[in-house]
Amino acid sequence: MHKRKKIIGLYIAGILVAIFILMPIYWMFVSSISPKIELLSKPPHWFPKNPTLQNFKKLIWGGTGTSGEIPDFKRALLNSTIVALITTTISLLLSIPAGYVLSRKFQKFKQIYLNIIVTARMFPEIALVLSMYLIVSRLKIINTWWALIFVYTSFILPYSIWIMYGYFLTIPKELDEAAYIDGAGIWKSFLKVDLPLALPGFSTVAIFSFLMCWDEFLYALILTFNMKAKTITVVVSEFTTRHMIDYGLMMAGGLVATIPPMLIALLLQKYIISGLTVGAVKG
Amino acid sequence: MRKTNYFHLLMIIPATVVLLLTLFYPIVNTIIISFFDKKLFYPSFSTFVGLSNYKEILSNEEFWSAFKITIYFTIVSVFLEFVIGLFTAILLNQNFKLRGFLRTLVILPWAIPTVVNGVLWQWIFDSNYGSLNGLLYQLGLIHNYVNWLGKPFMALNMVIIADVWKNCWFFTIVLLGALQTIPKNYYDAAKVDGAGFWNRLFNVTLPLLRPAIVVSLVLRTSEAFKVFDIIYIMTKGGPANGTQVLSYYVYHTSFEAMQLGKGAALSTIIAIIILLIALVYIKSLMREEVEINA
Repeated sequence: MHKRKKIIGLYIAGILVAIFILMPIYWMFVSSISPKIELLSKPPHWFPKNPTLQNFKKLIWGGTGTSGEIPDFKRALLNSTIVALITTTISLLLSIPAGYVLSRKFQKFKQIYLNIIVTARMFPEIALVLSMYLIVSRLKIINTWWALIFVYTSFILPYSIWIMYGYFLTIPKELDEAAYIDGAGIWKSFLKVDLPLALPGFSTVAIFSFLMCWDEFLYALILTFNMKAKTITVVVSEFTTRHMIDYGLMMAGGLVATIPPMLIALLLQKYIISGLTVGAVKG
Repeated sequence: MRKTNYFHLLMIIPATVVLLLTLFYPIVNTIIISFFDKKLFYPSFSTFVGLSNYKEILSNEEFWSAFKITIYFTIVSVFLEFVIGLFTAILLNQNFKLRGFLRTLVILPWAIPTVVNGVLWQWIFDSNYGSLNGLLYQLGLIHNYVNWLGKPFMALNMVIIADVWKNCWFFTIVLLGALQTIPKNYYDAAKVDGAGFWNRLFNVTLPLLRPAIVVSLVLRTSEAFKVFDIIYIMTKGGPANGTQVLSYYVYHTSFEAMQLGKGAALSTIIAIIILLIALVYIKSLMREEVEINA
């Protein structure tokens, strides 16, 4: 009897949590496919009567919304993707060797290095935005992909080194020492023994780095002026600053911007969970 | 392998150089600018003013108001996120059929970009056609639509709700990971002793979760203290500066009022506050290691 009560309680709590999570997401979806008349009604239409893909068509093929010319959404998707991919690649290429060496050598120097990295990671983005603006203008790369890649690397790289260091630590030193004694050489024992074993670490770093870049807003807002480099987050935010807010279009845009990270999160759930847990436990 | 050689230096130098260029140079640069009176678009006119930017900021009422709002935002949002996260983690650690489904579900809000979360809740809270108004009206809880983001203190709390909805699941995921490492027989022993739910929570669960709790709390606290995106999207610091947090104040000072020197001084002050939080974090982490080693 007591056990049954507990089970019912668990289900009620579980359903409440599910509703709490799903309601806003459901509303974003419904708003994106509702015609304007249904969207602007009191009380709201909880279920769309005449669903339409109008908003998504506008996003893809452009045109004019109620708030004026719709920005080139495809270009924003491209900008976000390229910036995120290049930043991720650079961070991986730099953090794998650095993380490896820190896990094997420089015992005294290591702790200082890692502490500085953690501290720098805590530095608020807003505190550096000014300086970044001046540097990027001086380098004449303002309003380009490279401005964002430069800046994003500054906060992705410390994180990547930290995670890679943690992964290499879990690989026993004896393994590459054994390979070395077998005559494999330093390069070979690193490439053939340690790299393959640290593969889950690369995936975690790559996923988080991509998601962080995709999510970034502040620097993109300040360092880009037009569709040459504006990212998806900036474009979505601009639906709100026009004179009239086209909420249907905004929700459609938001949904499109959400699909890539959500797919990554669902398909690669295992890495996300391990990344969050490792990140929280170790750094 | 014992000797440090070119191989090892070759591997660590590239990352170090990039860090120096992209991260440490900007940090140093910010600190230097903070001692100058520098205006955006007039970079050649900058005069050394010593600590006067700092003095001006610390005697400015707007700074202290932003400081208080940031503290309120941080404490309330992190507290709510922690409580929701803790109880959902305990729920998801129970053996029942919905568990797998819910574990996947909690990742969804976490994956939504912060900006999208902001526009979504702005729409939900809309004073004319928002679904929150619609729902409460249909349930008979309100008789007139409310302008949720129209009054300073209410707007701040509404932004907190939007932030909590997205970020509380971070605690769920981290604490669930830690809960799974607690052996079942700890609870069985407590149950035999007749300990109820709350008793077990405070005497078994929370003490064992302490390391994970400390670390996740400090991480979220420093994140919340830096909050900018959702404020920019939902309220732009308004109404009547009611949601102007420190980060937004820096943005306003540097890029709207164009006072670069003052903005840099403000940035440095915020950085010092966050570094203090980070210090607590590193300290507590060190203590964990000592305890584990002992």
